[in-house]
Amino acid sequence: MDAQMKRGLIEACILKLLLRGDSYGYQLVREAEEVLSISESTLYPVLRRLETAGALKVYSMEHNGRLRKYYAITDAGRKRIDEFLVEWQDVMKVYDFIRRDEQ
Amino acid sequence: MTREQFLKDLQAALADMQQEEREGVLSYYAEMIDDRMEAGMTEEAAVKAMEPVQEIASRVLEEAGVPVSNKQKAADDKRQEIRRPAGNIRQLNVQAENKRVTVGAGDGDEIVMRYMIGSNDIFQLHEDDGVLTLEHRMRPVSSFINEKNGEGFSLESILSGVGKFISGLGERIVSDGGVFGYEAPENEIEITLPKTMLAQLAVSTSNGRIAVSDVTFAQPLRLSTSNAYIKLDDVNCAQAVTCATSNSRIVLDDVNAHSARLTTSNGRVALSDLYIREELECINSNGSITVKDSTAEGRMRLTSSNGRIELDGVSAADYTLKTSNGAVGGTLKGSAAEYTVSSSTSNASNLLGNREGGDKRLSVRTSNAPITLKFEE
Repeated sequence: MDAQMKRGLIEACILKLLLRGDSYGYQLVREAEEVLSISESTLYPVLRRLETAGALKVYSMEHNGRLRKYYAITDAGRKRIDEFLVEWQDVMKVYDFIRRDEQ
Repeated sequence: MTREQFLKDLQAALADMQQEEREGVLSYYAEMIDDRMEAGMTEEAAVKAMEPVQEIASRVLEEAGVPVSNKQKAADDKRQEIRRPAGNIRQLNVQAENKRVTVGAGDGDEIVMRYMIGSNDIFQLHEDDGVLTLEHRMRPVSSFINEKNGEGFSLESILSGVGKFISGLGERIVSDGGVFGYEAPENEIEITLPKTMLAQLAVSTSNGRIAVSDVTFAQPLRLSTSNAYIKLDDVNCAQAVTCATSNSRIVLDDVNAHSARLTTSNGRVALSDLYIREELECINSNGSITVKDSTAEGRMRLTSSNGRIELDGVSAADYTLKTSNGAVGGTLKGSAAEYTVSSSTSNASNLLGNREGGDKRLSVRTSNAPITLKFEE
């Protein structure tokens, strides 16, 4: 898959997962597997970008005697999901068009 | 691999990153491993589930905008650095082919060797009972072709192999003349020693010059190359210095040694500010020998053929100066009365003559060229 497109999809997936509730790295990797497989190294820059863009917030909480980082979606993050859905309506139109032509 | 080792390697691989950023990455991966172990994986398996450190590092660095071009990355992979505490080494041998060798002093008490591994280079490091040997040889062209054949025959690959070999030859020729001023760093082995080097150093290379500066050696210093010059600058040696090359020059400036033996051909030998406690011996065929402001407490034996011998402000207890078809001239320190002089030339004038009675000895032989040597008090 095109790297740029994949990046956008992963970002949207992570935000969607965070809509269900705050989460942490390992949980996000496991839950994302439902739809697409991502590695730790793929997730890290995605989280950093979303944080920089203000789409999520990071906080640390104690867990089993160590600090674990949790990620929480922000309003900007929610807005971003909406934008993603709108943008992808166009993509889906193209998708349908291509499929129709094939059949 | 343990969690600790993984994080340590990752930290090292991210050395170019800002500290805060780097710590963020490290704590992220530490947490990933911890969570996996908490989910029931062994430490080993949890670490194995991560991508290799180098892959993580290049991805993270790229994302962080730390410029790592592929070329730079490839160069980093090939750049080698060997470090040893000098106290652990009693002898250092460097044996190379077609490499320049530069020896200098550092501030620490370490022996450091740096070099690049080119596609035609084979390096091996041996360490045994305090003897550290860096061995380098060139991959033969034939084996290069065979290897490429193994990957699938391609004319280009063979031509590029041969091309590299030929351009290597070109550099060899250029490195001696120095006219073009281009000397690729990948053809160099750089050695940094403590200011006082207690271990013995022996360097042998070919088609590449050897330069040594600013080090005091407690043990003998042996340097040999071919088709390229040897240069010593500000070097002390409590024992013998031996320099051998061919078709190029030997240049010593500000060198203090117990004895020195210098051999070349078809190049000039230029010596200045030398202090030799015993014997200085220099053999140069088809090239001149010039010695300036220097002393050999014992014998000074300078031998050439077809080259002139020029001394200026030199002193020794026992001179043997021999050439043919070359003039012998200049000034010796001291008075003629101290010396028993024996000199001869043919088909040219001899201003030195012969005399008996001195405790010291001066012997000069040439032919077809004048002897104009003089004493100056």
